[in-house]
Amino acid sequence: MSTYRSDITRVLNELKDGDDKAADVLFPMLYDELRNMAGNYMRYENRGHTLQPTSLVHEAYVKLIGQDDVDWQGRTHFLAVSAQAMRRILVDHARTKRRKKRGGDVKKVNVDDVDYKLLDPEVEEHVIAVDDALKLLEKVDPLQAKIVEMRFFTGMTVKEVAEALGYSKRKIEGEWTMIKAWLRKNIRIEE
Amino acid sequence: MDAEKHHKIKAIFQKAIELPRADREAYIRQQADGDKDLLTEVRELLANHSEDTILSNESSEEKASATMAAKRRIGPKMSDTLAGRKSSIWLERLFGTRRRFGVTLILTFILLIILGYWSHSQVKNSLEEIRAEELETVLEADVLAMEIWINDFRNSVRSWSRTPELSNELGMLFEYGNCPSCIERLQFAPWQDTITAIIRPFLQDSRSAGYNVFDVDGYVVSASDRSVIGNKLNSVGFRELVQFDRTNGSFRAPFDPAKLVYDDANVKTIYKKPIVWAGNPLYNDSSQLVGYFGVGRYADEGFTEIVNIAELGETGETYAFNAQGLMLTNSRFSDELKQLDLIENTPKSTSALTLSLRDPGGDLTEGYTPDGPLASQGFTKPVALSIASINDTSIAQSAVITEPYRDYRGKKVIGAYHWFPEYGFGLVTEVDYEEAFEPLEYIDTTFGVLIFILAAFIAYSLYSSIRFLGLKRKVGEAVQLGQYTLVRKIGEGGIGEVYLAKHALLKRPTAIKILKSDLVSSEVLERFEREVQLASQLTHPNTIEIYDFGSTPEGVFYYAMELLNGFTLAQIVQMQGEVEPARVLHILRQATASIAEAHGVGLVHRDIKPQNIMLVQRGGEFDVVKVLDFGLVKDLSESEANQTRTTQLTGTPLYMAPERIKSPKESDMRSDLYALGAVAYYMLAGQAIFKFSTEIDIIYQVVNTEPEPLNKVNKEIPKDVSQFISKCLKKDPSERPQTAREMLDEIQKLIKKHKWDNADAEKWWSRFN
Repeated sequence: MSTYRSDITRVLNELKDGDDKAADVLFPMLYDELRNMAGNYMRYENRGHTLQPTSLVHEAYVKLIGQDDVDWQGRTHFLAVSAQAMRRILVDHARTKRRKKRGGDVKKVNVDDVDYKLLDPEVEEHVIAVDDALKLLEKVDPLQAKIVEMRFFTGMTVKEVAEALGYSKRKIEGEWTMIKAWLRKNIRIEE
Repeated sequence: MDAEKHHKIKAIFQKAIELPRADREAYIRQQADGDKDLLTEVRELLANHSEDTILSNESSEEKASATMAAKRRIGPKMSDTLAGRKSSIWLERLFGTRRRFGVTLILTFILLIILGYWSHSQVKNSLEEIRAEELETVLEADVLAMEIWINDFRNSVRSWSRTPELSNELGMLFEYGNCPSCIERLQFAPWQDTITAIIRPFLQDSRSAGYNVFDVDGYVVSASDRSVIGNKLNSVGFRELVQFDRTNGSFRAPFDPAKLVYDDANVKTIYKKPIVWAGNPLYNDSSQLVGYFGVGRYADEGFTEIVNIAELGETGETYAFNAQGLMLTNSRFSDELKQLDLIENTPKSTSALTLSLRDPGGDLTEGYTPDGPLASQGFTKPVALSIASINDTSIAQSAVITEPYRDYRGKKVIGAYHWFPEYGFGLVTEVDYEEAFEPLEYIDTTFGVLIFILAAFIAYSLYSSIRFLGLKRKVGEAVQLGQYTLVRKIGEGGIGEVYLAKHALLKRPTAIKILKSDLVSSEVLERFEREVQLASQLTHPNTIEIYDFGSTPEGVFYYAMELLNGFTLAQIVQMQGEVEPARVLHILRQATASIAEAHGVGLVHRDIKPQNIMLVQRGGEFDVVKVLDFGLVKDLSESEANQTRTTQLTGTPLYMAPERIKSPKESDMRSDLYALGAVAYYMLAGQAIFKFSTEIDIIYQVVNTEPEPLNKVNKEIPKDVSQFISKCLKKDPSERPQTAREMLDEIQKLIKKHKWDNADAEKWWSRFN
């Protein structure tokens, strides 16, 4: 366990130093850990306990790294990589559940059509809708897609995203303004 | 849509939203430069533009952290909330199952009782029917056999008496001896031998004991036994013997031959054992009654054999009895009866005509002794009924009795009887109740055992759930833990619940901490036990005192400690905000002294926080500090390998020294000093050392951010105090006071300048007294 942990620490440090390969190493470790943790929650979902992705990622962080002597800035990198893992876990989970439920008509509704809804990573329909939209966005603007992924799936703030991606906060804020409009226009949520 | 176009749209959109609304349309038209697609896209985006957030976690983030801070002051340990959530689900599931299980148990119990009762009565009813039928069958067979045998006996006697040869000889005998004083002549009449010779084959064939020929007055004119010839049978005996009807002759059930008494007292009958008798009248040629021919047989041959042919099971028997209630046949239980002194205890004695069929009133075979002499007891039920039926026609002369009654041994039996009014005797068939209803016993035993097991189970579950509920919610009667009785719940911590308790003998107020039953795992237990053992080594007056430790047979772990009546530092700050510097120093001195002792024996508290330090009144002293909850104390003498994993992640980050977050293995006693500083900071400032929104924030700030100096937070805080606290909160442990002793010395120096005396404290406490 301790070797595993120090591996992650090392990888995180490399990640911060700009070694892109480090992310590839970190991802599978993180993915396994997160999926295990998420699995524990999902088992109880029907009893009214929903998965809270943000706290899950934070917990994973404390669990994997919190105890070791690691540069504190590593946290944002950690969250960034987690976003990708969390997205995969949540989308898989939501789609599986959807498949089981599917039966009647599936009507797609614009986010703004039904009162005003906030995108919630705890709602399966939202997870699927965001994932679908992200697939479109990734083709035309990978940066924007990355921002959405980080913000939606791990609850990173604009400042944290900026830090992780190495852009100014202002730049990310500008992107985010456009992303919001774009999401409102493009997202269709199954009702 | 391609990337290039998307970027073009992005550029136009981002510029457009900077412009006033009115100018936007014109701007995008100009930028689109006739590209309709582009124009529509940007328009739609603008239509969807809003400063409002689109993410639910973004808007709830602040709210969530605010409530979290308000609720617990200190951010919850993440692993703990998760564990709590998991355990609550687990409990919920368990409790649900438990309740359902209980209901099922009780329903099963009721069902089993009903089923048991139903089976019992059903089996009893059908058994009764079966047994009644059996008894009836056996008895009927015996009655029939008896009638056939009697008729056969009588018929053979009649046919013999009518053989011409015999009639001739007897006729001569009557004429010859028809005088009162002819005894001698009769005895020596030459043809007596002829008569004997004629009769002998018949006597042998029918296994008869002997014959008698009487004249109408009762004088014996011929007999197997020559000595009685010429003697007159006493009138009572004679009349009994010769009660006959013309067609069938007579039959006498077994009787004692001693009844045959002759006028001459010296003449004795030759019959040695009870006999049955069949006879026939003799007529002369002019059809005038001249005498009587009779044959005696021993009752134990033939008569008894008939009733003994059919025996029901192990205890069933059929016997004959007469109107005097005497048994006429040999009992199956003769040996037993001899042991019980109901019949004479000699090898030859039998129950025939000696055993009176009376109900002893209790089971003699079980050693029961009747109240009075047996002769004074009533007859057994079938016998009594039969005898009563002689004079009372309303009573059946033949019946089955399925209601258990006592037989002559006092045993419970069921039976059937038949009375022959014409012969003056009856038959009874009986079988022990125990045997007859044995299957019932199996059923009763089976159900009894099942019901008992279930009842025991229910009782146990009830008992443990009452205990469980009692411990969990403190309802109903008092729960006993060793010498302690729980009074009520007064608090709840991470691993245990705290109750007010009374010792059985001592009056000292006591608090009991009970390990939460849903958290019992070897790891938690270990921690719980360690908490007690370590804490009990400490004797400083400012450290909570541990009295006792134990577990109940149900596996509830607890320890008893000093009961504290007061407030935690967290409560005090919540009540009044910041605390006077002099008072904080007063409190800090005591807390540090407590920790100093612990450090002296090699223990680190590791979880010092405002919730773990209490302020109480003690023996006229106010503001007495008690440091509690040594649950996370780490024994420095322990080897690395022995450290429990639980201690690694627990603890409250706000009061955690940075080195504990960065490298827990290197943290030492100076981490406690940091925590004491943080607690003091919290009291002086009336707020935590860092402003935070999430758990991660706290951890981040603990490692990276210097807390704002206290005299800047509040100008009234003296500079020396502010500097001292800042020193305690240095990120680098080597810049802090190095030992608790050193810290204590510095506090003492400050206290000299900033005095807080008992009178000040008393004023504060007077509000609560």
